Amino acid sequence: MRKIVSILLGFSIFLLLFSMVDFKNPIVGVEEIENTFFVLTVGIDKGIENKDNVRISVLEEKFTKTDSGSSQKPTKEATIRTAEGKTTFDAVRNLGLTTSRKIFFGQIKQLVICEDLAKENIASVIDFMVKDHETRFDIEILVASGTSAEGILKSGEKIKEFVPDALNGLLGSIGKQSFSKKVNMLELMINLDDRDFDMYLPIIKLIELDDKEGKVESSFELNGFAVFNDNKMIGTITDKLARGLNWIKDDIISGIVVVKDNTNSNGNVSLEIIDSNSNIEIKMNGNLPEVIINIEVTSNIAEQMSQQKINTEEGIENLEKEQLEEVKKEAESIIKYAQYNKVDILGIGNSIYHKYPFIWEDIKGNWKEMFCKMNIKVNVESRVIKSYHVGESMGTEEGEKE
Amino acid sequence: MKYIPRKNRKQNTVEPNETELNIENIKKIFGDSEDLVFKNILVNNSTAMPVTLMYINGLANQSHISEYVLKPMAQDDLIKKVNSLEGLISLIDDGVIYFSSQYKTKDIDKVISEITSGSCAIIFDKQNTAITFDTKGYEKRAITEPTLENVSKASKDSFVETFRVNTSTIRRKIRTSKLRIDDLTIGEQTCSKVGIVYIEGLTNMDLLKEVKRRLDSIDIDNVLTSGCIEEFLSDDINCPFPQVLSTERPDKFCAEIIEGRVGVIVDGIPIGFVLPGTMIQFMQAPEDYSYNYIIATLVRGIRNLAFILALLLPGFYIAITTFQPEMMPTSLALFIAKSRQGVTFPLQVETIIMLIALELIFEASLRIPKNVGQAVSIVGTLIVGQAAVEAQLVSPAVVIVIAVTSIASYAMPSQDFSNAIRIWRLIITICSSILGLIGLSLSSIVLVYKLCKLNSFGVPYLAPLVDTIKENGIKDTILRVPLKNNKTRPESLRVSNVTRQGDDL
Repeated sequence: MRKIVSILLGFSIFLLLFSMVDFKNPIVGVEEIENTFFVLTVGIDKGIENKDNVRISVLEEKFTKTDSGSSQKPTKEATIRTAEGKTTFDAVRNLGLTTSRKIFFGQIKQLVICEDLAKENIASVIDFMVKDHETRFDIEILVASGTSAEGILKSGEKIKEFVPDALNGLLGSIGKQSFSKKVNMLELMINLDDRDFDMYLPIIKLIELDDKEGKVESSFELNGFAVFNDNKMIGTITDKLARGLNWIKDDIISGIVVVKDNTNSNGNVSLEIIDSNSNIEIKMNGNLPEVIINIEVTSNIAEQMSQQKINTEEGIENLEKEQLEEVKKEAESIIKYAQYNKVDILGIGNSIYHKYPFIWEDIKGNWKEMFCKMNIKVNVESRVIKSYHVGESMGTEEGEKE
Repeated sequence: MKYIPRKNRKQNTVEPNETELNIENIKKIFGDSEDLVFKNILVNNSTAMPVTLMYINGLANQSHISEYVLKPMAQDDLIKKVNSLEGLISLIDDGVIYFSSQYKTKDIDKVISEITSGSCAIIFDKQNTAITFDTKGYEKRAITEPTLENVSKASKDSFVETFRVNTSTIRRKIRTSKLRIDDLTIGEQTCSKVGIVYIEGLTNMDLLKEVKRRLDSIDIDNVLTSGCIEEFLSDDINCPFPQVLSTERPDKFCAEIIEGRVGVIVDGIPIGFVLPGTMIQFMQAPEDYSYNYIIATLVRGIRNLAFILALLLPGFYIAITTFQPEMMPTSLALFIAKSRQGVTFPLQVETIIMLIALELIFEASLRIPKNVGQAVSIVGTLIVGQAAVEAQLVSPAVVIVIAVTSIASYAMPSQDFSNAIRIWRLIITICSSILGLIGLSLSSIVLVYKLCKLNSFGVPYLAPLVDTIKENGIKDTILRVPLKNNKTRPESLRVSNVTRQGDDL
């Protein structure tokens, strides 16, 4: 009896499942991998004719058949598709009309947003990228300055490189001078949700290089930040100014601080940053917060252009002092910039909120005004270590050596 | 069905009216087989003392019979003085015929079983008595290197078909007087001798009792293949995972006996069986103990990896390529997409076709005669590996996946275990091709559930990974700790003597 019941039950379950199968498309969610358009880089622009539209460009690696005999490494080529729509998602669906394959957003490496769009409202175009189930949160975000995002994607011919690889390489070597910083989708989401914190995104530029034969070659340059007030971009900071921000936010990876070897001399010494720490210290003076930014920097003597003897106690002390001044100058310049533009990119409001959440409730409404007038102190602790043999610089006479 | 011990069961070979031991009955039972030899002898040339010598030609050593049985009967001085058969029987019983293994009986069953196993018998018709002499002399295979299991840095002998040779091999390895080899007969027609090997005072007696009970309850006509024993000793025959460890290496067999398990050897089968079988045993090789423990641990790690690869790789490949391409590194996704340009079949179909092709090659190479065996590998490599890829029937990526899978499944020390993996690999692949990674996880959960539920002689199949709380669980399973740190026998076997090293051995 039990056997008969179980057979009947099994058969009815089978029938039920069998009737549910859609025979034209029996397996749900299947996508053949060769019919997938693997988007590597996305660019978002304003519409060309209708400025209210969103223009989206996607880039993937083109499948090129190479001769099996040739030993030459095949060069990567890009396929780019562009479409416009009233919203980002509308544009993405319109993209689907331009290719027979399924556009897949699960492998995006970089997202480039054009400056014009960033100046209006960056949150509006990011929303789709966050909500879509395919996109991942480790996408690197870049703001294209001076050119459209589509221009960046289409510059493969000009820079003679595969664009996603070029961008990836630049982002990888961002720590060489610490003039910028990687920001991915997750950080962007957190920053956008945090209304008291003004964010910044790295900037990518297409610059022209001079060429002897009259041909113009181009290259990407990743330097500096686009600074946002709330969701709107208000300006850009580059070089030392941008590094000043990294000093305060503890985002320095490495870099070169150039100082003078002696107070009276003009010889330059390159100090290579090997370690840096910073924290924001908040003290409450009544209801007024006092802010002290402590920066610790350790560097290495990497190069000396003069023949001055610096490998002495006083010499090193002098270098440390020079470095301290230099770092302090960089940090103070960005504080000045932030206070002038009324953008709390330093995250001071955030620090106050975390240390004094109740007091923060009181000063929150008036924070921007308070921030501009605030006295922010910068303390720098500078150290120069000689982690490898310094000796004398090149060109020092034999007799002078110890 | 109520369990009846074998001793009390009715013997089929002897009819009720043939229980008396005499020539007539024996002739009736055997019929007139051509290889049966009856020789009537008149002792002392006296008609009052007729005896019959009986043996099976080919099984018994004829020169032994003439030299050690017939010659003393004709020439011994004491026998010459005897004038009655009763006197002769008592003389022989007392050892006048100097033969080391002789046996006096009135039981016709016993005589028949002795004769069929190669002894000769002197039958005293009137006295209903027989004396048997162990004169076995049939052809047997010499001990050679194991053919199914490769040996490196370990003893190179193997089990053979002859029961006695196998017991002597085991005795030579385990010389303790506590070693016991109990025997019983299984197979209504083949009447095969089965030996149960254990160590008194070490092996769990309940386990032994259960092994004996199960062997006793086997009521089958033949024991010609190992499956006859394995299937009856397994707890769940619907599970493809082997529950009886079978090995042709005596060193592996003896190591398991010393660990506290019970061994079974069968006459005519060159394989030793070890009970109870747990999963870890099938993943281990005796060589693990002959190399440095660090290397052995590493090798075990690789074997575990091979197990996972052989089981999951094709399913995982289908799942991540067709359902979850975001799980792959970008360059790999692009490589697979590139390699699949222009391939005729969908990826799932392609993978399953290749899996079936692999099984075909495997089966064909097992069955094909050795001298044409190369043909299979040439056809397999050329057709599947190259022509199919060039003709764009399959993509190179799937060939690599299937190749890795098959290599991984060859890395399993046990063929039975690797066969079980083959079945589950197919199940997991099909589930993955319907539901992607969810199908992969669901089918793996079912597999783990099945394995957790499985018991072999009351020992969990996944022991000692699931039933010990102490660190003993991983000492000799995933890791191979130095021998001096592994002082106890497996907890799950509940052996009488737990210590392997130290004072109370």
